[in-house]
Amino acid sequence: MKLISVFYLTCIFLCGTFSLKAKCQLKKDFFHVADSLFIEGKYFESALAYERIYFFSDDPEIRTRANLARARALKQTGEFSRARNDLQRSLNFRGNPDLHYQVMYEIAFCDYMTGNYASALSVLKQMEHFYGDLPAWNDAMVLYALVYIMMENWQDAFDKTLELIELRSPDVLKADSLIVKAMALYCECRQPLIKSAKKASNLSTFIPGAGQVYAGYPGKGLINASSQLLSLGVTGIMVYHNLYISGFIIGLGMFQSFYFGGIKQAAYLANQFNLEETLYYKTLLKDFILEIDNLKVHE
Amino acid sequence: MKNLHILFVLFFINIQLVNGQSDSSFHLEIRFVNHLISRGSYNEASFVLEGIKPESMSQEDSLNFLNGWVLYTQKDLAASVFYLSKVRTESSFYEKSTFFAAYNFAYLNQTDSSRNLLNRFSESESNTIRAMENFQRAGISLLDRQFDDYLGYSSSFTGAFGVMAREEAKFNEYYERIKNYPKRSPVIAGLMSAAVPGLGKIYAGKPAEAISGFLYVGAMMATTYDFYNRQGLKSPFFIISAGLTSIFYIGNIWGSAVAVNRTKQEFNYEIDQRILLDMHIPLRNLFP
Repeated sequence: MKLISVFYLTCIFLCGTFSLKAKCQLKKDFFHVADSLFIEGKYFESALAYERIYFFSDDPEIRTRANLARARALKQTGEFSRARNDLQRSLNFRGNPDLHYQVMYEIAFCDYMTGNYASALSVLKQMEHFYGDLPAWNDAMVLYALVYIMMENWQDAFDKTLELIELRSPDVLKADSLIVKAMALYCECRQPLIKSAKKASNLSTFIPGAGQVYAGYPGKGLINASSQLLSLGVTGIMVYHNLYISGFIIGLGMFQSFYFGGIKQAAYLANQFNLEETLYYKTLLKDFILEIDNLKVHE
Repeated sequence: MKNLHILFVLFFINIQLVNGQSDSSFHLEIRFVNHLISRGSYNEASFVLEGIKPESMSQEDSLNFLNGWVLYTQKDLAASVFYLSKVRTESSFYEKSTFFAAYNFAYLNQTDSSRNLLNRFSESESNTIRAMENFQRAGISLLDRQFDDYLGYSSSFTGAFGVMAREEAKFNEYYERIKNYPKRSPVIAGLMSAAVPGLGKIYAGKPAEAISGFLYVGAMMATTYDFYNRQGLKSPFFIISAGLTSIFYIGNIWGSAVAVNRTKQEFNYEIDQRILLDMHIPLRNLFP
């Protein structure tokens, strides 16, 4: 009787143990397959393999890890929006602060890459609130500074750049030189001069070509002013030859096209100028941020 | 001891069930595919479907349906029809697959193929299925502008089936609109624009184009008259202006004649899109 009991209990123990071990092994194997595909550069297949782990696993931590790995694979194929949507599924998992932090960071990063800067900033602020004490938080500083740069919030971008310099600089001397460079870069005199589209169009309304000159395109201003003068000249010549109807239709027809077209062009050019200047300045700042971040690599 | 016996038996039943589940990997894969479809990951769903090897006819039906459905959601209707129409009568997906395959054919302007597929339901025992078949046939007749056939099918509209009652009323409305569409002649449109530039376009149903044409040609005519009046017939400005005005004048006449057919094509396109949409809504209501 006792022997039978021992036999039954042994069977149950062995089966239970090996069944659990098999399950763990299976999950490890799945991750191994997905990781191998990722390493081989098969990002589509790898993302799918991670999704499979996410779907078939009941363990929220494994699901979150799979989701994070899937996001990395999707990022490789440029599918930032999908990666963000998928990561959203793991936001409620708070069992492991490191993983939660990573999920939030990846969401902020995907927001940044898709140009959704306000959302990226909101996520970063939440991360700062919840995980500001974690050592990993320092890595998010680069993204923080970049988001402020893209939002053209130069003062906050400068503050974050200083924080980043403090974190990354190997010594005081290096930090000093970087702070001087940062102050020079963020100085108001270096910031892009924003031209008002309204002012440009108002100028062109009263002085033909002046709006284009204000917007930084004097050549285009000259061409527009000359076209308007020429069309007025044609009108004058026609009227002089008693061709009143033709003068009105052809000469003034041409003039009004150049005149109203010139007003619209001035506003467009002012916006174009702002876009180019801001883009150039942002590129300068981004390069500087990455230069500071690279100090970490060389440490 | 008795309890231990029961525990042992239950434990092994559980192990058997777990093994049974692992054997039915097909169903797990199908669940995974459905999960991918629900998340809008159609390319991934197609990729997984490609890798599944069916072991029975019923599994093949499921695969054909899912392949067709994924392609349908990706708007690859021609490929979708290939899979959907292969689903066999025995499958629980048969009705949905066949109706959507028929709809896809109609959308692709292959209405004869669509009708042939709908023939499969001619002996269906379900009233709803037969009503849906009748409704789809009515839609196809409207698309083909076969009004006698449409009247035959629409006489069976009862308004009793909630999934299609509203669309039945709309079909009748489309029928009236198509029947009452005015018959316009390109020749008359051209003659009207020859008399007064732009008038033919009003007749063709393009009033904005008519105003713009009238202003252009009118301004050019006025300029030509001005050159003729001040400088005479031999003036080069008069000759150039008269030449340009003639080109625009004749162009306006030609444009008015063409506008008649263009307006009709636009009307037909718009009404066809509405018919197709109203054929689709009841299908989605019946097979969510």
